[in-house]
Amino acid sequence: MKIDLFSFEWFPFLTKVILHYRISWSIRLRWVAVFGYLTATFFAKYSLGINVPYEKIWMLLGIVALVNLFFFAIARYLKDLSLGGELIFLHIHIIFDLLLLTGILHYSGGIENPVYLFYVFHVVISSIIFPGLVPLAFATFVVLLFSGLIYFEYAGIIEHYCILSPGMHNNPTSIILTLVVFIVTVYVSTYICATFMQIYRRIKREIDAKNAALVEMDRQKTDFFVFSSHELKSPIIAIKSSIDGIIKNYSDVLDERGMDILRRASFRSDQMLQILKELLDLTRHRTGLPKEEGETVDLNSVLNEMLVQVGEEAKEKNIRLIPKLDKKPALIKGDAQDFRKIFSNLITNAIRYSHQNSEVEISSQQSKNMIEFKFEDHGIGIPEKDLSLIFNEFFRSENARRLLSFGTGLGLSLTKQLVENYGGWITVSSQINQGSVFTVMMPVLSGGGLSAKGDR
Amino acid sequence: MKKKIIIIDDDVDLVEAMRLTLEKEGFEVIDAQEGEKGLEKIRSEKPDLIILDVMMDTQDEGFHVAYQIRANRSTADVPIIMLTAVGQETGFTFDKEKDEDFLPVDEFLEKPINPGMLIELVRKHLGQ
Repeated sequence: MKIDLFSFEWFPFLTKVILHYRISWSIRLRWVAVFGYLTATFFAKYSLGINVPYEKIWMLLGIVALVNLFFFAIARYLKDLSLGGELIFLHIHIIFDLLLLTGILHYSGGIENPVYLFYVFHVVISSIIFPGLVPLAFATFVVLLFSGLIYFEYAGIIEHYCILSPGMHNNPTSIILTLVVFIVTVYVSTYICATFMQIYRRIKREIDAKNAALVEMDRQKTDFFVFSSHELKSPIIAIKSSIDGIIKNYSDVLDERGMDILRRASFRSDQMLQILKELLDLTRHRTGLPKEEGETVDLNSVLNEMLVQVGEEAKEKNIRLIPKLDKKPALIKGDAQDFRKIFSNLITNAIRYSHQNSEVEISSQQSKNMIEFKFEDHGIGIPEKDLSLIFNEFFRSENARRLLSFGTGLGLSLTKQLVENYGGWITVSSQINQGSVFTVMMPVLSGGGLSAKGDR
Repeated sequence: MKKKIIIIDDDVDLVEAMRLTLEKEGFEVIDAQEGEKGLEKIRSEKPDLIILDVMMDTQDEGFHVAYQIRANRSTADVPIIMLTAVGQETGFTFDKEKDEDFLPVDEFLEKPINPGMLIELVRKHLGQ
């Protein structure tokens, strides 16, 4: 069986980003280790008066520092390593650490120095990260290194440097005792870590698979919805066109009551088309990815454009629009059409739910990389209990329904979705029969042409 | 002489609704339910104006038909009004100004079509 060692399947917890981050962290940790060991040798030499070949230990620490510098450079400048690359890099780290630790241990007293416990760190790290037999291989490597060192010192093949108790390194009982406890510790740690990690990996894979299935189901549901909406549209268009044809061409044979009913039917089919259109729009924006591309749009000028467009509707109710817009252009990357929808929805709402002969204030104010828009009307307002529901699909307040029978209840949902797609947010405050204030906060480009969203 | 208009659309009811208005206004109306038939009838009946649905069997069948009408010298100058129901929904809006180079039609009209608007546009493109 061919196993792709570096596939995501085997490393469900790791991405190359996480691993890269952990490796950088281990490099920092190694600096601390070098510094700590160096301090300990000074303490041992000058305070405890232990006699070991310090210059050799320092030399080895120097090698560790140099190699760590090398690791640092690799981590810093080879940022585009794949997950496999990072894993190989990690193997090299661990093997290098183990060899150098063995060297330093040799010059620091061998079996007498409990610093050999540091081997266990590496065993634990490899058991957590690597699947399959790799942790076992590392554990065995560690056992061989340590037993080999002790055996060679025992057999006199290499010199032993005494730090505490003379004779320990060639006393078979103490050697066997130390080795047995060490070996058991290493293998049991490996076993515990590796088995738990096996369970976690399995669970994570199951969760990932379920998650992927859910995403796929959601996509199918959306596709189905979009498809059925388009299917629904054709018959309504035919119905509406037929009714309008009769209204236009048979007004001389139909009485006023019949005509009125046909006009109502035409209006209702319009309403249904509008709902379908807005639902499709909402679905499209809800499934769309966050916007970071597109033309550069000046929000203030889009808002101005919309203010001109709704002028007629405002005039009909004798509502005075009072714009107080920031003079500075508020630039954002995106689709101008989206911002037209946001602004026209909010201004139209403000006008529709205003009292006759009142004022609607529209203001924008820009700070460093945010712009705040306020749409303030003096109208029927929103009951307090409805404030949290106002952005829900199809929700319309009782008083809004009473005032205007039409309206899909989708406008504010779409507005909110669009604002959030651009990394902004929208809030509302209202007093019943006094009016409402909708506030939109949008991140804008702050000079340099950087995506405002990217900063967040 | 009556001006002849062909409606190419696969929705028969929609065709009938438009026919009602157009015939009342004194036009002669013929129709076809799919692109190939439409092209045949255009060649044989020589209509003065073409109303063409953008989406029949495929998303853009109407465009292919329009290209073929423009490619044929005898029909290249016949005005085409293209009906769309797509608009914002598929994520692209037809913008005549912008797309004139590669959209060989004279007008886009979004369904459902207001009868008054239909007559107005038909007259405009017939030069009446």
